[in-house]
Amino acid sequence: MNSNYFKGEVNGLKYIHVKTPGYKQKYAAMVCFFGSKDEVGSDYVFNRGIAHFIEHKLLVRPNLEDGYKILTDMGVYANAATSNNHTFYEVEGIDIIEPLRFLVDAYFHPTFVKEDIDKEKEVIKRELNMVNDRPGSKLFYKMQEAYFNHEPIANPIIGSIESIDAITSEEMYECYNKFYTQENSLLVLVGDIEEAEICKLLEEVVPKDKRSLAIKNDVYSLPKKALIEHSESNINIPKFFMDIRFRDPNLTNYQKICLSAYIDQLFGEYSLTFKNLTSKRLINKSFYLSSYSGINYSGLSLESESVNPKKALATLEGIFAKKASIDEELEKIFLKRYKASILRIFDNNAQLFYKIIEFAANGLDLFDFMTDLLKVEKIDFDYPYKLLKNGIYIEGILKNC
Amino acid sequence: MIVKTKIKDHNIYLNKVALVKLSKRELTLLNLYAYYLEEANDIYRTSLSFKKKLCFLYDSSFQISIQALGEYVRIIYSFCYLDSRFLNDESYNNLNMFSFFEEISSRPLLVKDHFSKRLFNSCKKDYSDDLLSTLESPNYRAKVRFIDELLKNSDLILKDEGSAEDLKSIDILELEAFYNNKIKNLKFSYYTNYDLAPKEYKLSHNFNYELKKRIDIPSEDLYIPNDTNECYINIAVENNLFYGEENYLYGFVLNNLLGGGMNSLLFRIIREKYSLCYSIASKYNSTLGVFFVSLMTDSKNRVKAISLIKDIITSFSFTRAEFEIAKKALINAFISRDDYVFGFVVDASIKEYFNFYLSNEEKINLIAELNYEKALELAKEVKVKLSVSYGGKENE
Repeated sequence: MNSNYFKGEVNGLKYIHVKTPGYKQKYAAMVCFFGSKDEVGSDYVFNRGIAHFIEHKLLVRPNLEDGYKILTDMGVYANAATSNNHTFYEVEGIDIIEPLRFLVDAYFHPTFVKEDIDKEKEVIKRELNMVNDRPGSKLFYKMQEAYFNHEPIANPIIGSIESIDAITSEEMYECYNKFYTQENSLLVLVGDIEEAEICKLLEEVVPKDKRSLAIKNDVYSLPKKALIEHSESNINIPKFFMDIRFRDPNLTNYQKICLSAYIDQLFGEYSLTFKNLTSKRLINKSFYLSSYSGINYSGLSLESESVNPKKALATLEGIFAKKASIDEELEKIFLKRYKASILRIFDNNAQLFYKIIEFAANGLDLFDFMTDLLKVEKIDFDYPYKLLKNGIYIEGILKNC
Repeated sequence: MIVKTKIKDHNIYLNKVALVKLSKRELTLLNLYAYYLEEANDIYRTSLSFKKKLCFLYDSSFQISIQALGEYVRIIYSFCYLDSRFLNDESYNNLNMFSFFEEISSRPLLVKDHFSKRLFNSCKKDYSDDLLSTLESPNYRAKVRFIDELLKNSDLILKDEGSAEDLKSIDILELEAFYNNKIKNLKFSYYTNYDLAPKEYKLSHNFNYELKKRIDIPSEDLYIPNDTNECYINIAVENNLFYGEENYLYGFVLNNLLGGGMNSLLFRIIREKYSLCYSIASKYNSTLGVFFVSLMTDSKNRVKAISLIKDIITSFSFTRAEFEIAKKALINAFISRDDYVFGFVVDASIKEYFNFYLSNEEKINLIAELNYEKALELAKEVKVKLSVSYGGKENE
């Protein structure tokens, strides 16, 4: 596997390339580590939603032809997405070298024109309306606001009708020049592609001149505990959301593995806790748990439908306040399962591709993580217990009007 | 049948597939049985993991996938686990796995059995929760109303997930009877990416099922008020290109040209030129011989959007270059199916069940030969039939 894993840099642009011989479909993405949370900094303020707006218009050509159409005409699938900490532009297909050349070139040479931007505002408003039709979206943003006390990370990714209307082409260029630098970007490639071919392409197409990157406003004050309740029509089963932000933001790979093991002990399919919660229907099959981390933050999110969301939240808080006993059998099982689940990613180019991007956006290297994971023989449960006990809890309940 | 893949898998997949004709109520019963079987096997595998120290079960998965194909419902049982060699795990032997798969996928449901009864109740609740939760999505509700209108004079089934209404009145006796009458003696075909199966399972069947039914699609524009921000529009466009018939591959290419991607007519005109929506796409259903167009728009633009779509379809046309691009995209899509084992299973099952089958390679070769003039001729035959608009504030 290692012989097919390449990391490099050409004209200041870093890249990760995983060669997967035998697979037909190939994937490439330009990732910019600029998302909605970076729209406000210590010495600059951009309109909310500008990161997402740039994503829509970055690939427009000087003749105003849409880059996504050009890429689709080349026979590949093209897409882009914005999150709170990064934006990425992807192509996938059988022959991706020429589409990749187009993508990298367009990424470094955008065209933002007033008429084109004004037209796109209507499309983005449609997208905003669509997102607001999802029952969980409004509660999510209310929780974010409560969590971050109106700091930039709480920004809705799309922005608001007012902020979208206020965006101009000048502002888009200004924002682009601050963040779309080689230093703040990463190219991710997965597929049966020759390494030499990629290096040659990048030499030809990545600009040699480098702009300096704006300083991001990454340091947030710690949020306060909060419980938000929100009612919507068309909610058939109440839901709860629990977000736990950790005071210790920079977890090592080993600490992350320990946290995952601890969570597995509590909520894995074999755990008594999980069985108790489900038998009382405080959670059901929709129970979903995910962990996340940024440069200066990390946390854990849980959500589920529940017959009694308030009781479910209180029960979960009680569980996290008490140290779970170590079950050596479960510990062994967890390690096998976790190693297996990471190995499985390598059977699917698409999964591998998105996992590398997800890890990179959180400042992590998937391969370093895997190397560390395969070495782990013993798990420390004291650290995750303290982490969860001292975390800051933001909770939300979604129910019918 | 051993499905050979060209890639190196860490995973071993065991699948068995059957096709069955069901009524709408029976489809709900089948879904409920799937919940039961998955849950029963989770419990069983967990207990075996501990009792017998069978590490291989720790990260295995057992799933049932149900797809309503119109006249038939396809059931796929899938068991997947990590090849032991990758974790240096000596606790199991790949060769025993086939019988294990047979054991877990043939578990009966018995009214007299206390375990079955308890599980029945919790699975019914889980299934009901899932159905109610799905109904919270306005997009889904709009699709359900659209399909109900589309199939109101037909007994075909297109919704995989069954009905919350039917589920309410189903008891364990009915489920047991359904299992005994419809599931217990089903003939399955087996597919795996690893040579595990005993000889008797390697036989290829030839079921010779035929797809015969046609539906009469109503020609009308319906509006269903609902308190959503956006108006969700679904449109049935009749193309008369049916699976297995001479011109059916043209359906895929025409779909690419109409609404298959960011270079399609609908995307370019409705979204890019008029900024009427964020998302618009079409899908080809070769069982019904239709394209399904779906979009979301502001309710004040609803009439304009539908009218523009009708105009686009009435004068559906494209250049030779656009036609070749659409063909290339389609060929690439079929080539990339080689990367996914599950795609092989679905394709292989089609081969055994219907008397018409094209391999991936055959499809690719035939698409390359599709003719521009013929495509234009077929595009002229395409007709907008039913449109169902759902919700949108400031509605009429």
